[in-house]
Parts: sequence; structure tokens; C-alpha cells
Amino acid sequence: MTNPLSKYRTGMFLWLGLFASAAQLKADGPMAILGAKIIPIVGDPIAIGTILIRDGKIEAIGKDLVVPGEAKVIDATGKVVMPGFVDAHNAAAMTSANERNEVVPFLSVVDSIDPVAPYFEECRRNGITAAAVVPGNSTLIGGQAAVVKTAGQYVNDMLLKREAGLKISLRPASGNRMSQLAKLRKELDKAKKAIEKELQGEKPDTSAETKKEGEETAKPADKPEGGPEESKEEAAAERQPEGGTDVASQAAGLEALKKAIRGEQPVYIYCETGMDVAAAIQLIADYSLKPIFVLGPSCYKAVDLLVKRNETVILDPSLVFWENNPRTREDKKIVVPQIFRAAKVPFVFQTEGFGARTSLGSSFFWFQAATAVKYGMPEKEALEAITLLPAKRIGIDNLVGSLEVGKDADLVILTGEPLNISTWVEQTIIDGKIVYERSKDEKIKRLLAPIAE
Amino acid sequence: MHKSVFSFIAIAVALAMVVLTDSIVVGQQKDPSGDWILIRAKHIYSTQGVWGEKGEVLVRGGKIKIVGNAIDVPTPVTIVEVDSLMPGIVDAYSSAGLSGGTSEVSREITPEFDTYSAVDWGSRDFQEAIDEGITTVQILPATESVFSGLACIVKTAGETTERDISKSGDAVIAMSSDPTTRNRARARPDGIYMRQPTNRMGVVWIVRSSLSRVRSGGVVDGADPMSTPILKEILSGKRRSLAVSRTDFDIRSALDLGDEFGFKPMVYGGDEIYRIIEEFKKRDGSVVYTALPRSAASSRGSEGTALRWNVPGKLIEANVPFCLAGEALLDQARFAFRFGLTHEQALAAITQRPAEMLGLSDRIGSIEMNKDADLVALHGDPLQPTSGIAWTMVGGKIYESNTSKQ
Repeated sequence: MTNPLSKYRTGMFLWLGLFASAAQLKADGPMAILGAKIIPIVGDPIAIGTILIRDGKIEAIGKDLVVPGEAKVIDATGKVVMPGFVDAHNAAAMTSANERNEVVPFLSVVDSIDPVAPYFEECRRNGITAAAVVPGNSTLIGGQAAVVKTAGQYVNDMLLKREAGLKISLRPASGNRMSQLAKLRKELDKAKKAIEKELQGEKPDTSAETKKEGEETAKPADKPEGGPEESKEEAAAERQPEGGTDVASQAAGLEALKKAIRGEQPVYIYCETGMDVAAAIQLIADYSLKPIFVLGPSCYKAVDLLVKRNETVILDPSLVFWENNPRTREDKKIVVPQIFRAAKVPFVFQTEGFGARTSLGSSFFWFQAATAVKYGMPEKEALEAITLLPAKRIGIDNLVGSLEVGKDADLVILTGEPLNISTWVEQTIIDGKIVYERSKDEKIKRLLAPIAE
Repeated sequence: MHKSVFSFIAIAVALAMVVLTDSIVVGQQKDPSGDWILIRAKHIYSTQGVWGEKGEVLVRGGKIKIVGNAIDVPTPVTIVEVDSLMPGIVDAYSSAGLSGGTSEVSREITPEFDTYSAVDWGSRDFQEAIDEGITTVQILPATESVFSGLACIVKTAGETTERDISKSGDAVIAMSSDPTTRNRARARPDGIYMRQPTNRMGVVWIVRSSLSRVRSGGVVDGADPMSTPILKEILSGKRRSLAVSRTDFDIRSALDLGDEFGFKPMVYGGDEIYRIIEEFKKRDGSVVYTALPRSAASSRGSEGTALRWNVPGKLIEANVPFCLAGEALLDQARFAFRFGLTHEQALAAITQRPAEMLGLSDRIGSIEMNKDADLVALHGDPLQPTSGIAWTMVGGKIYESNTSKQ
């Protein structure tokens, strides 16, 4: 037992084990899914079709395809295949959604994503194949979001986008909206001034546009661009007023804000109420931000402000609720998807964490979509709102969100129609690899025993 | 809603004849026209008759008069066409409309407090209930005192005077740790805020001591004399009692106390019933299960490893009388169906079964002749989450849903 060699051997085995399984995952050969009804989201459903997958991508979709001899065949007769669901806003993958400090633009959720978090297991079980992990709604400037696939051994295996957006929350942590906005403006002003300085000083002749492009191709990751001296200078200038954080963080934070202002990364803006929406729109105009609206339940009151923006918004998980008009004392049922549809503001759904549900079923995308359908949304639109639309919203629709030749083979095989209450996810496939199989899901078997047929 | 006037046609089904002879007389005496409603449904879901088949229901005077096909009626009648029709939903565990606080906090033994006298008939709760297809609710007091009070059973809509079914109903016993939550164990024993029970042993003790005092002809210290007759009725079995118990040991204590004093409390809550289901069955228990919303949507949580999704399936397998109750009842039935109940079992769990548990199955819970005209019309299969409620009928009156459109 105490023999050092045996320890070493165990280590070796572990390493080999990891390596082998990783290699196995990578080595998945071509795959053919036969006999299923295919809902590709883009284009009409195919009653009985075939999907060919090679090298993690969709090679072909159609009716009478020739299946290559070497392909692994999945018989999905009687089942339904559609793209994996996309979660446009979720903090559940993080160990803790919110930072205690109010202004932390330099943080990245990548550092807190745990691939074995229960969130990802639930994602695969429920057919979610990609997700934007975004800091919570309680921090003024909460840090940077990332977009990931929901399966992988290490964060880097899962990452689609490292700097997927900066999270800003207009919900005041202290209850005072004036100081909340003032603090936010102060931070944004710093970044704006820094940009102006750069433009005047270093590169007076370069327009913001070319500068932006140059930086994107040169440094897609988190290294700040521009003269190193200037960066240091900026950082030093910002040092005094802020206590608690160090110089490097300050510089990185400033850089993140600058990117938001230059439009190089979007800003997830959480609005709690209708008045926050108005404030957000002002901020967007003042600092030329590229917004992704994340809306609280009562933001439906500001739907008019969102009409002309032609932007897909992310709705609160709570889709139907009752409200009391304080003036008339009249009780009214609010059906949020109905209001946004009537105003022609496109939207995607959120699900609720398993701790804080407001209604039965709101932890599931299919249920959220079904709720919208119940209140008048055509099923086709509702399915798009849990696949392609969120993929577009978080900027990964070139890879996922629909079943099209050349896109990632991220799909779900369902036992039946997607919004039917009796439908279960049979298999979830990410990058051409089977990452979930119901027949092997011991947990769900235990939860459902005994099935009364 | 499609309305038209249907004129008299001579052919009548045999079933209809009986009712017609009786109703023609009344029909001529009273309002002859607006009273009759004929509902034509593409699918009728009621435990009586053929499941999910096309059918018609004739309603008059707040009652279901005929259930059948091609019903002919003698007088002008309002015809309503619907996709799916099911019985009104019955919620056996509700706090709807309870105004001015739900719990007595100054005393532990208040079995004589009645929920009925505190019901706010104009409460939004009832509006929401109607919107969700709930037509009858049993209102329970909250469980912060040991003998919490009397439940009552009411309809969720209609003239206030006609809404009560049972004003002075079952006695609620909080057989759980709930009553200890307000009582601080570390308060000064001589202070005015000091009160028993400060722990769960004390809860059992209060039940036992009160009942044994009353059984031996005494009165309970500190309780109003009015409580004595109620406690006596519990002992004699004249009044039913409900034990609000969630954990397995609370459920067991409730059954034990019942055995000790010769009564049989119905268990309300029952979160951990699955752990003792065999014992519960042997001891002839019945449960109003309210834990489905808490456990169903999640596969983790404090009891993540234990079996919890298909508890209704387990109860049915063990042949334990049960019904679903609590929030979002229709969705609960949907999930119970998803988790393994049959279509019929799942719908019965929110209609027929709770009606039986409340002892009202002769009046509500199914679509049958002479039962209350409490119905729910939907735009599709009631158990599909995409099916909205078109309207809810209580006592023959239609309350339309203005938000669900299809």
C-alpha cells in the first residue's frame, strides 16, 4: 500500500483511462440516423428521413440517402429528430452566479464552469446541447459570459465562445436605482474616455471600424490590444479611486468595457422592470452598446420601447402570472409571450433553476415552448424559439440551431412530438457523439419506477 | 363560443325521456329559455362512459341532466361546441380566499376555528382557480397551531350564498414540526412569549394530552370550552380529521395517534409517503398528495437520490387511496401522466379521486346525470401542455378564459 510505485501505477492508469476515453470520443466514426421524422427548423419537416453525420458535422439530410457501409446506424423509426435546444442565458452552470463586488468586468465565467456540474447533466438529459453561461442578475457589471457545448471533459473541450458578452444588471443590489445607474455610467465613461484617448493619441488616422476588425483577427482572446505603455498608463490612472482590486484586474476590466463600447462584444443587459428597459435603451444609445436584453417578468410593460429595435429578447422564466393594478385593484392575468407576440417582438425562453421555480414545468424548454403554444404561438415558431433563435441571439447559428448540411451534429432524438407531454429525450448527440442515452439513464429509471402502463 | 337556438325535435333518446318528463313541468313554470345548455364535445373525458369519445352534455339548473349522444331537447337551448370536456377540477388542499391571516398563533388548540368564516369571496384566488379549471376547493387553515381549525369546502364561483358545500368540515391537525416554528426553545420559560410546543415531541404530546383529557371527560387546559365537542367528535369518528404530515415519521405519528385513540386521520402532504408505502397500505391509510410540484420538475434537491417522480404510480400500484392537490393541479396531472399514470388515472387524480376523498363523489368529480354542472372545456387533450382552457363551468354557469386562444 505504501509502495510509491503502486501509487505511480494508479496514476498511470488514471491518465491512460482519461486519455483512452477522450480518444474514444474523438474517434467516433460516421453515423446514420434512420427512419425518424426530422424537424430541421430551417425548411419543412421530413416525414421519414435519414441524417448522415461525419466528423461531428451533418453531412447530409434527406429522404432516400445511401448509408455508407462504415457508418454506425441508429434506428430511430417512429422517433422525432430535431436540433438540440439552445439556452441563451443561464447562470446555473456556475458554482455561484453572482460576485459580491459590484463591478467585476474582468471576470470570466469560464473560470467557474465545472463540466461535471449537475446543470450539464440535466442539459443533456433534457436535450440542451449549447448554452450561454452568463453571470447572474444581481451584480452591476458581472463579468463576461461564455458559450459552451453541454458535454465535455474540460471547459476547453466545451467552449464555443470565450468572450460571449459582458453582463450588466440594472437591478439595484442596494435598492437605489440612481446610484446603480451612476456607478454604471462612471465605469462606462472611463472606458469611453480611454477609447477617445487612444484614437487621438496613438492612431489618429485609423477609424474605429478598421481598428476593431484588426483586433478581432489578431487577438480573439483576452489580450488587450493597443500600445502596452498606454494600457499601463490607463490602469495606473484608474488605480486610485477603486479599492479592493488590483492593477491587472482593472486593466482587464477596462478592456472588457472598451470592447463592449466598440461593439466587439455584446452586452447582456438585465432589466428588472419596465423603467429599466428605458434606462437600458438610453445607455445603449449613449455608449453605442450591442445589447442582448434579458427581461424580468414585468418588463412586458415596456414592450413598446422594444418594438422598433427588431431584436430578439430573452424572456423571464415566469411566462404567466397574475397582477393587481394598484390603482383600480383589478386583478389581471399576464401572459408574457402573448404580449410580445402581439407587439411582434421576437423572444426566446429561459428555464428556471431547480431551486426557484415559479411554476411546475418551467425548468424545461419544451414546457416553456408548449406554454407559448397554449396561448396562441404556432408550434413552428415555438420550436424555433428554443433552437435557432437562441443560437442566433448568442451568435452561434453558423454552427448550431438547425439541422443543415455542414452544421455541427448537435441533435436530439425524441420519443415523439417535441411538445407532447409524453415525449422523452431518447438520445442527445453533440458533435456527432452520443452524450446521453435514456436506456442507460439509471437515475431517470429510478425516479420513474414503477411505470404503470 | 358558438351559440344558436335549437328547436324542438320529436325524436328523443330513451335515456332522455325520464329527465324530459320531469323537466317539462319545471321548464314551463320557470324560465323556459336561457336555462338549457347543450354542450357538444369532440371528446369527453370522464371516468363514467367511454373515455375520450364524442358526446353531448345537457345542463340545466346547475345540474347535469343528460350525458349522451344526439340529445334532443324540448325547449330553445344554448348550444356550446367544445373540443374537450372534463369534469371540474377538485383541489382538496387549498388556502384560497383565506383572509386576514391563515393561522392562529396565540394558542395551539383551536379546533373550533373555522376557515369558512374567514373566506373572502371576492379574492383573486378564486379567479385564478377558475382560470385553472378548479371548481371546488377544500380550504384548510395553515398549520402553525396543533389543532389548526376546521376546513371547509366551497365552489370557486357563483352566488356567494350557493357556494358552500360544507361549512364546518374536517378537523385539521398539524402533525408535523410546523407548530414549533414560532415557538422559540430558548425564550425565558416565564416570559409571555413562552409557549409549547417548542419541538416536535411537544406536538405529539399536545395531540395526545388533549384527546385523552377529552376522552376521560375532562377539558383541555388553556383551550376554549368550544373546542371540547370538536375533539369529542374526532374521537367518536363523527368528524373526520386531516393530519398535515410530510415526512415519513410525521405520517407514522399521525397513524399511531389515530390507532391509539381509535380514529383514522387522512394524511395531507405526504411528501415522503413513498418511503413507507407498504406500511401505509397495511395500515389502511389514504393520502392527499401535494408534493408533486416540489419534486417532479427536479431530479435533484435534498432527496435527490430517492424515488420521487412517480409517487402517484407507486400509490396506485399499492392500491392506496390518493389524489393530487395543491398548486397548478392540471399541470400536476399532466406530469403524473408523463411519469407513468394512464390518461384516465391522471385525470381522475384531480377530479374523481379528490371528490371521493372529500366524500362528495355523489355530487362532483365526474360527468354524470344529476351531478353538479362543474365542467372544464379545453382546446385539446386536457393532459397536453399545449391545451388551453376555453372556459370553466361552475353550477351551470360558464366563466370564459379570455387569455387562452387557439
